[in-house]
Amino acid sequence: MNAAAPRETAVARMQRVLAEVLWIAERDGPLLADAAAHFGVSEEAVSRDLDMASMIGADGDDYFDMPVEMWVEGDRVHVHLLAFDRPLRLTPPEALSLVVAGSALTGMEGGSGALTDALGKVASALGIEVGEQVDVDLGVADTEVFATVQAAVDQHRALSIAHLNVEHDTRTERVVEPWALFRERGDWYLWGHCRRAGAERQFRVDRIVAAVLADEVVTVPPDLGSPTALRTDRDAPRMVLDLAPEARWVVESYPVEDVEAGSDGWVRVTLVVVTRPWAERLLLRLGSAARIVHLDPAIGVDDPGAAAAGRLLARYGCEDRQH
Amino acid sequence: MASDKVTRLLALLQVLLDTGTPLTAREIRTRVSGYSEDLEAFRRTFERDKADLGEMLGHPVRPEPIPGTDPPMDGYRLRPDDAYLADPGLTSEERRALAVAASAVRLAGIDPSGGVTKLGAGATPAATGGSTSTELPADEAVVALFQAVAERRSAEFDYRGEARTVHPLRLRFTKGRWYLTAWDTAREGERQFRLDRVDGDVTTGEPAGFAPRVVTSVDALDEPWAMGEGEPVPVRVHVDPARADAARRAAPRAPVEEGADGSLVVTLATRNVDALISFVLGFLDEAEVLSPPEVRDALLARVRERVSAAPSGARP
Repeated sequence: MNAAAPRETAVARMQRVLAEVLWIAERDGPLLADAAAHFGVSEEAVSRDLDMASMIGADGDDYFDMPVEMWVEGDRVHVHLLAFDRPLRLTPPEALSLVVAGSALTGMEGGSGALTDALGKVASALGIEVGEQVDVDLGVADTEVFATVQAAVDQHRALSIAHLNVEHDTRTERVVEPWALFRERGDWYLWGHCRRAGAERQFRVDRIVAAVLADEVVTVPPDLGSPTALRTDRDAPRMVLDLAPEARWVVESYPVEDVEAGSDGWVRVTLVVVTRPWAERLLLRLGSAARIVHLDPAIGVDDPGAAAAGRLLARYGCEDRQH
Repeated sequence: MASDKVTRLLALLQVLLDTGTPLTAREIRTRVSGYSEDLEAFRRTFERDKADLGEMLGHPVRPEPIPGTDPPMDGYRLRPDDAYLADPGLTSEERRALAVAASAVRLAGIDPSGGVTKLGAGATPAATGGSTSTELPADEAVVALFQAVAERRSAEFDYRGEARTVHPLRLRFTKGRWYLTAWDTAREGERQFRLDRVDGDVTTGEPAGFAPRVVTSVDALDEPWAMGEGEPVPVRVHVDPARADAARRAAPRAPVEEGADGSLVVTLATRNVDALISFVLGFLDEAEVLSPPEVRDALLARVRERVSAAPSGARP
């Protein structure tokens, strides 16, 4: 604890005291120094905590024992417990944060190891079934790919990836100099310099189908700004739509740059158009709930949704296709 | 001063755990040292201490009637299950793994160190490398419904302008949001709720408020077309070879017939025709609903809506 650390609350100190006596009691006379290191406090602090614990019940009536027995042997400490011999109950926020952290990351470890076991034990102590009753998906599709990408970022090593472009339905192989891994709108993105494009790029990790770590160490620009999935769309074409109230979900689901309230619950939004097929899909789904206000010429001059609608009507053999 | 308070809280916890019958406030004052002789000052301190213990254990320390008292009197005690966790028996390595995880994945506004400390994991290590450090949204509704799922407490909240009484069964975080699957008592069926659309507070009932139940409905997040009322209608959709893989990924459980050219016919058990149409339109003109005719017609009606939508430049 350094001087700048915020003052510890009585409850936090009490929890630490109880955790310390339990930890020491579970061991066969550990070094005081080890206990201090484990709890991240000084040896003096641990000694003071143990003194305090050993005095519990000292001045009450004599019909209950002092529950914490403590003795020192050289640089080792011993604790024997008559109470406080189990961890204190977790509050719902504490339990939730442990279960969420554990279940979010067990998949990433490859399903083995200490975290999986720890989560299983905590969950059964709480009486819940992870996966069945609580399920946390951080948007990592392939845990092996994710671990490789993470290692590349951590170790500043070049990375070969096979990336699926869902819009164009193409698969490309690229070498990326990784800068960072970040999460946005529920998806993970790899951010770095793509040698194939010769420029900065972001790749959705769940669309990376294979990743191989290279030995080559790469440099990361020192003045990286904060990553955002919208960044690559700086030069992408824009589409301005008026959306009916029932189409408000678009605002929550897509990168929307500008939202302006109109009359009767309609809103005017500026959307970044990823590709033309993306715009076709969105407009087709929106039907009459969207009106086009402005279309960047790069997307085309006609309503992409109406064009797609025409092709669909042709496919279904309808007579009434237009345009 | 602060350490006096810690000593007193420890002693109070010990006394409340040790007693078989509830103790009156007066008895507690004599057994726990450090309380003021002044009755009013004692009351204030005792109330604060009870609140602190309650905060630490996650439930209030409530008075209960003392058996055999006449006139009836209220007292306080803690049963072991009120205060202790069933010992999870973690190894040092498991504790460390949990502490690392808790520092890498956090819930907004929730300090993970309390739970980590209680389990004896020691000082929270710094997140490894920081590359996966992430924060999930969390609010009181998420915490309350987690507890409700874990302890089988019924829950009440407003959703889409209607009051709901549900038996919470499953909490899921995906695509950046929390969802609850619950048995809706008024509708007598499983429903899925997006927690960011819950209006106002969530109130929960007593533990073990409903019988254990396994979620049987298909998750709307995986198969939106399957969520809804009544018997599902099988909808056959032809998907061109170019999109066959994408269709398999999107509907991994659907029966598939493969064509010689690599195309597919998938049969989707559909309760929500709107969601099905949205899904099929995602393939643009590379997929086609084959049957039944009414679903085909509904899709074409949606497509025609776009054709007749106001052209560029129109205003609402």
